[in-house]
Amino acid sequence: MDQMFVNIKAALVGLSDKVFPDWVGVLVSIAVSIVAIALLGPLIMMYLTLIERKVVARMQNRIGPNRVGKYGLLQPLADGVKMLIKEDIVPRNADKVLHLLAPILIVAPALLVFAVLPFGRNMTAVDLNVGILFFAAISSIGTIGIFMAAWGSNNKFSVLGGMRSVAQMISYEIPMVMSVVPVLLAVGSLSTNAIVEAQADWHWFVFTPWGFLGCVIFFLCGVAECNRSPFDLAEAESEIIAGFHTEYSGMKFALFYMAEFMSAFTISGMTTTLFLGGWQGPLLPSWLWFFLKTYGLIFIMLWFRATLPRLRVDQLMALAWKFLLPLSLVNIVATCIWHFLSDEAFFTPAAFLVPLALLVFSYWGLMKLNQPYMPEKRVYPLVD
Amino acid sequence: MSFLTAQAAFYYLASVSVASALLAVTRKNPIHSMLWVLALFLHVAGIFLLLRAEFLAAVQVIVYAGAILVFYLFVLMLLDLPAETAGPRFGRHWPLAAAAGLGFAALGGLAHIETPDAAPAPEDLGSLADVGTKLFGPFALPFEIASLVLLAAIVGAVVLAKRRAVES
Repeated sequence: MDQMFVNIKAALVGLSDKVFPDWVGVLVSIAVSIVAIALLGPLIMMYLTLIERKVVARMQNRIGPNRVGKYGLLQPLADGVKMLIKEDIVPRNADKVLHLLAPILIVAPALLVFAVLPFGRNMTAVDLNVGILFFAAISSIGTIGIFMAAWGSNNKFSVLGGMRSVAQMISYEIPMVMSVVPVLLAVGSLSTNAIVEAQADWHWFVFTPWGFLGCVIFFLCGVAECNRSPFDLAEAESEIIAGFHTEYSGMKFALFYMAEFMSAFTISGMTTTLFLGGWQGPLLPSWLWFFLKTYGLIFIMLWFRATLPRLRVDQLMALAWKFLLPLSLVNIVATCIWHFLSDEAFFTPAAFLVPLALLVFSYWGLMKLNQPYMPEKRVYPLVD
Repeated sequence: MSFLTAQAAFYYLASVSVASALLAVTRKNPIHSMLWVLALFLHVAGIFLLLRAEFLAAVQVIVYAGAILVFYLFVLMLLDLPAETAGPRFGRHWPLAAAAGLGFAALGGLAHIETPDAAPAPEDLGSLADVGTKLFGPFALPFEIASLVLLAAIVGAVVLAKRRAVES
């Protein structure tokens, strides 16, 4: 069971080796991985839309889509057909080329990140030795797609959304990358496979003080990076219509959603890989563990959306620069302390408590420093 | 990768880099220029990949395409774009700049002819571990100086922001 998909791929390559010369086998091996990922991304996106609608509906005491297919299971297909046959409208004053390229440039990076996600044992499509850097590099390109959409639409609401999104993405990328550094220090490699292997035997990094904090920071920044609520200022519908994708319709509009949902998945997958032990886990096959953990995190994202109100712009910036960034820098120091106190053992009381004390202290200090100015409570003697 | 495919990939990447650089300086619209610069950065990252310097390629994309270009975008969005587009594309000194660029290219060509064919690179050249030990070993001093320059820039930015806050 564990190696099911790996065996299927090996069988396909073996089949081609019997008929064709060697080099075809190499091409087949590459093609199988690419096709698997190219199918998986959109499939995950389609069903995430359904999951999101169902979960949010339940949280709001509704039922959610239940007309198309059993339990609404065919709803994503119906939505897909609807999106495809809708009219594609391009504003007359839009920059036609940019307007066309933007959705593509947003979806491509979101899909590319799937290449370095370890879905299970031996199930990383490309085991790059700079896997984490690849992830950071690719996810930073998405910003430019959003900007192209915003500017190419030639609409003031789009540009407002685009500016917000660009500011937000620059700000949150820094604490996000900084919160990964402790993991790299602990593992000594940038490869996603090596990171998962280092967390064998329940040595998940989330069980260490720095790992727990890093996990929270990384996940929060990730939610902000893919513009999901409560960080969805770029498309705040109550203020600026739909932000950067105001002027899009039909399948192009659907592509923005596809990118958003695929990044939600890859961010959850990356958090799983970096801090929650990736595909490590007892009994169940490794890929099932990966998907269970990832969907658990996605559920938390949906929970955010259903419960938290949207942040204001100044709150958003203050959170990233005045709180998450200093905390993630302290976290790097805490990791070094952990490393030198623990002496290769995963858990020793000293190595656990000293970084914990440092982190709790800096958390408390940052909370104090970030306290907004509160005017003293006025007293009205005559009223009381 | 066989020699022939590597060569073909190099010529593709190099020619597209040069072409997009030219397009970037000649486009009327600053936004289009910037997007051509993006194409340029991505292709330069491709050349790094071809040289098996994966770390440099990733950093090229993160720093240049991800951070610096996005800051350009930010500045561009605050510009008066119609006026920018209507104005002349080149300043009066453009022949000087072009001559300097050509001179630099000629120097590069000369250096290429003068140097003997390079020995095959060691296996871990350009890997993260290699870059790290070099940066904190033989090149520690220049590295620290560069960080000092960046620190000065940060302090300058804070001072500018503070002054404006006091004035308003």
